[in-house]
Amino acid sequence: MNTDAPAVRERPAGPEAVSRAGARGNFVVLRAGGLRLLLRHEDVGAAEYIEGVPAATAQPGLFELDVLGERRSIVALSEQLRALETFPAGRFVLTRLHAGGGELSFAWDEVRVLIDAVLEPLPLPPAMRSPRGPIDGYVRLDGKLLLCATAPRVLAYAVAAGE
Amino acid sequence: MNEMDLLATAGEPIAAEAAAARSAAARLLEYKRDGFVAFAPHTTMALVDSPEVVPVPGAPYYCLGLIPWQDGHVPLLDLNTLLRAYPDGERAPTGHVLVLAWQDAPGAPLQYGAVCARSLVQMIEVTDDQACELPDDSDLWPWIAVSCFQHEGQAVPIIDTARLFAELQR
Repeated sequence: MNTDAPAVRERPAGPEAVSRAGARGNFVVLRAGGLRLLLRHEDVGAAEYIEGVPAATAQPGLFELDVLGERRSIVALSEQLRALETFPAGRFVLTRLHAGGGELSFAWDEVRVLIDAVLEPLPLPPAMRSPRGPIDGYVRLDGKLLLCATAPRVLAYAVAAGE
Repeated sequence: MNEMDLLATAGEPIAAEAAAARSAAARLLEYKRDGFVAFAPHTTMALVDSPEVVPVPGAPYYCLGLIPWQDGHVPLLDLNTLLRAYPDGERAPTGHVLVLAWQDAPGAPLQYGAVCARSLVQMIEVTDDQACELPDDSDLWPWIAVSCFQHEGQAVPIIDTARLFAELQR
């Protein structure tokens, strides 16, 4: 896991974008394919490595795996935050998202922690906002765009998409 | 990614527009196969080839994502998908995208957005006697178009860039 602590300076952000991800602090980048989500560190549980292949369940998009002796329910999200029905190769790290005590774990291609990072997210352009959209803004880091979100909004969006 | 500065070619037509009151320059964009819209030249900033598109989950279905432009990123939308009100089976073309500018109010900072272009944009001259009714194949035309003209047998709506992107803000 990469624990670099870059200082990123961008243009001043709008009020929505900095509501959760602005200023200085610890952040986590969760990568699913080309999607890179940026969440506050406190929104994300400890990372755990997947050893073995998660088994499909009767519920499409939900997988199970024993992790450290505990049966875990796992979801692998697409680049559009939809639950994938086939577990993708390369998802090797799990995290829980802290949002109302849910017991789901999410599988990612990469989890990167940014320690004491200074981030100044830009607001999402109005054309791209939607009332239930999970993304508030974005940050450019190392040539990549990180999309700012919160655990409750990611969970709400992913669950709604599966209904 | 290659970028063509369209402002560099816009000066002469604008001058010509002032000289001939009954004609004006327009930038013609193919938004679907054999379907065209026009923009005022001063709203068209650059034609960008094959930009990297970063999809944004939860964005409206006609917004393909964010593309880099200048020192930031701008939203990219597909006019064809917007006008159809549902996604086409065919993937939206991103080989060329036209970057557009507008102001939310006089004196306000320029805002930027981009639309997919199926081919290179063209500069044409339009005269008043080419005016015609808007097409009736989408309910959105009256919301995003200020007028329309006949060009090579087709009705070509003239898009108000501010309205186009304001429409997305609903």
